[in-house]
This record gives sequence, structure tokens and C-alpha cells, in this order.
Amino acid sequence: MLFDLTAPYTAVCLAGMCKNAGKTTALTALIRGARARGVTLALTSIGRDGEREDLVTGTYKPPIYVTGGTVFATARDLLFRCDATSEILSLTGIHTPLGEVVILRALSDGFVELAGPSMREQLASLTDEMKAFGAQKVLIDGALFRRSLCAPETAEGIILATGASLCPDMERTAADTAFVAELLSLPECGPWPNRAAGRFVRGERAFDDLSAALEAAGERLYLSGAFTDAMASLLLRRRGLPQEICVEDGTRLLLSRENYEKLGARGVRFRVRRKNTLIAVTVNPFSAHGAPYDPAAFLNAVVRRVPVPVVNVWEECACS
Amino acid sequence: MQLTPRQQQDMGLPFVLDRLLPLSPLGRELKRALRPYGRAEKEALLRELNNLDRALSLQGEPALDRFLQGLMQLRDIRGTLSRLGARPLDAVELFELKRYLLLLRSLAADFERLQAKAGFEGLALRDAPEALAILDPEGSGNPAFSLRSDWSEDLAAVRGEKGALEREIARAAGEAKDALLAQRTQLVAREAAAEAALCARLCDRLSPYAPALRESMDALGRLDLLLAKAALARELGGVKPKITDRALSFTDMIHPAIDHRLKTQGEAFTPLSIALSPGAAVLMGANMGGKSVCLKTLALNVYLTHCGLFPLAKEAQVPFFDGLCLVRGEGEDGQEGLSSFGGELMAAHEAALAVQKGFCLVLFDEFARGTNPTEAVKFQQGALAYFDRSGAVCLFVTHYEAVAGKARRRFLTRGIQGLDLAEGRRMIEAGADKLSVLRRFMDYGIEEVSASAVPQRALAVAELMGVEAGLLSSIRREYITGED
Repeated sequence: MLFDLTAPYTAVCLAGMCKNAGKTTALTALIRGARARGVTLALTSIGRDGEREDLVTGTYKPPIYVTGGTVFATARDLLFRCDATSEILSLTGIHTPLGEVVILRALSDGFVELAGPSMREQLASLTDEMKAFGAQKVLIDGALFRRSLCAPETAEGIILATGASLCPDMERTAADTAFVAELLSLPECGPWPNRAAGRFVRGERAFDDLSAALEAAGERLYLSGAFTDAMASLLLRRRGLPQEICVEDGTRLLLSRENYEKLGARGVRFRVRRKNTLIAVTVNPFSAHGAPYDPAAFLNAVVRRVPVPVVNVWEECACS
Repeated sequence: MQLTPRQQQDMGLPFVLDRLLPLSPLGRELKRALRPYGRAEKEALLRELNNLDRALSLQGEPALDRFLQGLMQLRDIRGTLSRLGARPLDAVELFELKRYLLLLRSLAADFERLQAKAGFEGLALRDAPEALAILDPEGSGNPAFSLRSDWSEDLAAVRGEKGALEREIARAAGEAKDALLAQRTQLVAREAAAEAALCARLCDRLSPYAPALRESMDALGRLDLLLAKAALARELGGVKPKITDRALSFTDMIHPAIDHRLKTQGEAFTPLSIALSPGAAVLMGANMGGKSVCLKTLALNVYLTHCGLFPLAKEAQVPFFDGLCLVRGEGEDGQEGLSSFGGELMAAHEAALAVQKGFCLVLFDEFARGTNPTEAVKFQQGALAYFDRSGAVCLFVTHYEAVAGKARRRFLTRGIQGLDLAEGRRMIEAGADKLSVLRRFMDYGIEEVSASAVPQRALAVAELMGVEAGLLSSIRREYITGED
């Protein structure tokens, strides 16, 4: 059961490889698991994961159905979309475009729509506050393209959802998934330079500019923010690259597989200050755009490539 | 007594306001609106200063610490309170209201203890137990809020049905589950209607308390600002001023911003004492001897007093002024497009109008300094005579004996009277900073003198500053030629 894999962690983030990767289904599987095990959950999300509208009928249903007792945090303007009978526990002082984030406790089962903070520190304080209201495990629905918020300071572990919607080519989907899984499993780099100033540190010096840092000597390049494709392109145009690029954690690596592999071929290794914990990968053989994959073949293709448990949550909860 | 932002800046007000730190949004709003008390508000100013004195006596009270903690949790729900009578509040607004009522209960209890000790005038904070009882009938003190089933039979009935259905849904799967979820949608709509009706009933019962709750919120804002003023007076060293009819005097007043800057350089501000009364007085003294600092310090402390803050002095007597007029040439005024002299003329013009309307403090810093000395003397003498007659309390900074001779009273910055030039030069040669050596020999204190002789110490300052030797000897020759 997917839920049992999360047993060692009190805060888990769900990240999706693409839209319709099955993140919500994975969340539903976790909610069911928590109900079966009698664990009090808290739910929130990173920002809001887009508008969810049923295009065929035009009717709307929030996708997450919670159990009575669940603590959840959402923006004030979305409360009218939550139909679980609820008790208001706290106004957090965290403001989003949809209003202040409110913490509630569901007093009955029901549908909820989540919209939480989109800043790292806010997410961390919200997680703490929800734990203080008795939640034994906090699940964070990580929005697409905001993988960086699943960093270790917010979430102890990550569940990565992948599915046929990513690409019609199953092998490529599996390989792309394995690439992200690799980023989330990178080894640690050892002591982190104690430099307040400068985004980049190389050798004994700090730089605000990547080009200047690349001119300097030193086998390691440390970055305080994200490493992007634009930076990768800059590196690939040069000679004499650092042997190691060190980032805070794997969620800061926002570069394509292609650039990652090219840099790897040039001898560049990536390392992290704090290692992420990838708990599991969930697979969704259904695509929002075309033909589904063969479920067993897809599962195998991913299992072959990633070092963590792979779960077909559709089979697990048969709830789609 | 309004000053332009530029004058406030020049006087050093931002330094003080940056350290005035109310804890609640209501206190911060009052701080933003802080201004001198007006002509009709003398009684209110006296009350504020008395209350501030009493607030200072509360230092160390356990109830004060709790009260301050409570203020930090206070949120501005005036919008919610004003909607209370107009339309039903939703559950989140009722939560906010309940939380406020719980906070008010503890704040009011602590205020009662503080009030017993301090005896604040015109400040009251009333708890609203009846309103709290509506939202927390058992008196649990738990801030969580829900629209409870036991408050509405309709709500209890629909939730009972809904709960039974949800238990079925939890066991069902596939199409059967979808059918049950569709049924549930109907019950959710009924529940929402019953909740809305309950909200409306609760708000009907709560709305009579809205005006009193609004008053208590306003009172909390005033108390917050008052306690912030007390903390500021403790931090910077303020004293309760005596509000007089006409006399203005400070013993050992300081300018906090300059004091702070000097302390970071390992030096200290020389406290200033001055006593003025209606009519024109002059302040004379050496260049760089602190005349302008004295004027700024005086203006700032008078302004603070009129804002209901304690002036920074050992003792203060301040009359209730209708106006504070500062006439200082401060370079080009970009906004007005006026030269320094043009700016001074405008300020002098406004001061002349202000003294016709009420009792003013008028401060001139070397009026017309940018023009030629012959005309500057005439301008200063003319202004001095005009403002002397006006009944305003006036202080003119001047370098001219001809002006000083016409004043009723004369003050002198002590300056570098005790300067040992040779020792000063030795220190500078040994690597000491010229300005700090000058400051070491400069006595920034002021004293009242009878003679109008203006000390001529500019040359000594120039010598100590180590002005280029050729230039200095050329200037010195002029002194000798002049004596001839």
C-alpha cells in the first residue's frame, strides 16, 4: 500500500511529472490508506494547481474527498468549494491571490479544494501549525512546475507521479521519470561553503555572476538558487568546467535531461547539500491526450529504471 | 503646527518615529496618522502626556507583558464589525469575531489591573461577555469555530442524514457510489442553506454589540500607541513636560539621531539647556559650534511634545504653540524650484502669517545667509524686529553683532574657547581625524550672555582643520590688515 511506504515521514510532498500524471489519484490512495490505518492527516497544496473544470459537462467537483477529522488548509475564497462540514481552526496570516490561508478540520467526510502558500518558509510554518492541531502526517499537493517547494525543509519525503500524459512514447516517459528520480536521489556534497554574499561560490570566492564564477579556479561550483537550462547552456559553451556542481537539494535542478546528460558526458557531476528522500514513484497508464500505455509494461519500464518502489495507484484504489 | 516632510526629515523626526513601534495594526494606523495636537485639543494633549507618564509607571508589571503579547495577536476586524449589522457574516468572519472576543476578554482583564495602578484618564476597555457567550456558550475559551448542529434543529437534521449517507459512501464503490454522491449533493445544498440561516440568527443576536466592540477596538489602538510611546520614552530617555502658558525651557535636552550617531563614533552629545520667552533671542557662536544642532534639537523636542510624546531632556517646560516655524536655507528646493534664498523667503513669509494667527515658536537659522552680508544684516534685523513684536517665542541664529544687539536675550555656544591649538595640531599630525579633534575641543554647550560681541573663532577653526598653508596665511593677512 502506498500509504505504508510513507510511514517513516510526517510531511510528504506529491510532485507530478506533468498534468494528469495521477497526483490526485495518489493523494486519494494516501487518504484511503490513512483512513484504513486510523491516521489523522493534514492536507494542503503548494499554491493552486490550476483550474479544475469538467469540460464535458461543465460541472465542477473538487477532486479530493477527505475523511472526517482531516485537517486541511486552503485559501479563503475557495472555502465555498469545500463541502465537508468544517470547523475553522486558524487564520494563518499567509495571503494568497485567493485570500488568506485558513486551517480547518473536516467534521464530516466531503470534498475539499486545496490552495496553500507558494513560499517555502510559509509552507514550513503551515506544516508545523497543522501538526500542532493534531495531524499525524501532512500531505502537500505539489503544484506542477513548483517542484522546488518539495525541498527537504518542507517535506521529509517526495512521491513522484508519472503517467502516459507526459509523452506518447512509453520508453521516453519512463526515461524522463528516471531522470527526475535521479535528481531527487543525488548524493550529498559534504560541507557547504559559509558564504552569505554571492549566488555562486567557486574556490574561495563568491560571485553574483555565473560567468565570473566560471572564470575562477576550483573543482566545485556551489549555487544558492536553482540551476537552470540557461546556466547549463552557458556552461556547455565553455571549456574547463567545474567537476562538481553543488545545489541546496535536487529540487533546485531545473534543467532538461538532455543538458544534464551533456554535462555528464563532459565530466560534470551534480551533488546536493541536503539529500531528498524519494519515497516512491506512482504510474498512471492513462493519458489525457491519447492512447493509454499497457499498464504492466509501463510499470516494468519504470521499475527497471528507478531505485524506489513503483506503485500503480489505479490498481491500488480502483477509484478512478 | 504642520511641518513639511522635508522639514520633519531635517529636524530628525524619522529617527524617532522609526523607533515608535506599536504592536497591532490599529496602533500602527494611529502612528501613521500621528500629528501635533491642534489649537482646540490642548486638553487632549495634556491628558495624553499624563497618560504617557502613567504608562511609564507600569514598567515591569506582569499584566503589562501579557497585555503587550495580546496586542501582538490583535487583528483589525473593523470591516467585519461594520458589516455585522448590514449582512450576515460567514463562518470565517464569525471565527474572527470569536477570536477577537476571546482576546478582548483577556486584554480587558489585564487592562483592569493596569488601570487600577495607572489610573489612565479617558481610556476605557470594555469586555463583551454577552457577545462572547453567543459564540462560545460553554465558555470553553477554544478559539476554533464551527456552525454547531446543536444551535439549529434544521442543521442537526440534515447533518444526521448526510452523515449516514457518507458512511454508506465510504463502503460503496462504482456506480452505486456515484449515485450516493449525487444524493449527497442535495444534502450539501440543504446543509448550506441551514448554515446560512444559522449565521443570520447569530448575527442578529450579535449586531447590537457591534458599536461597543468597535469602540473597544479603537481603544486598543490608542492604548497600543500610548504603550509604544512609553517604550520609546524609556529607550530614548524622555521626560514628562510641564505645559506652561508662555515660557519654553529645556534642561539637558538631546537630539536622539545626532546622539546616536556620535555614540557609534565613541563620542557623546553635549546636552543643551535653554530658556526662552516671548520675544526675540539670538544664538551666536563659532562656526561648527552646534548652533544649527541646537535649533534642530529645540524644534524636534517641541514638536515631539505637541505630538503627545515625551521630549528628550532632563526637564522640560513647553507652552502650547499653535505653530512651529522653521526658517532654514537648505540648498535648492527641487520641488518648488526655488533657490535656497527663495525657500527661506517663502518660509519667512509663512512664519509672518502664522504669528498673526496664533502663538508660535519661530526659529531662524542664519536668515539670508546666501546673500551679501550687508543685506543679510538688514534682513535679519528686520525679521528680528518684526517677530519680536509678534509675541512669538523666537530664536535667531546669527553671526552678526548688529543683529545680536537688537535681541532681548543672547545665547552663546561655548565653542572652542579652551582650544590649545598646538595640541590639536599635534593630534592631527599623529593621525587623528581632523573633525574628531575639532569636536574634542569644541564645547557644544550653550549659555546666556549679556554682551552682544560675537566670538570670532572662525580662523582658529580653520587653523585646526589644517587648511592649506598658503590659503590660511592669506586669510590671516586679511585679519591683520583689518585691524590696521
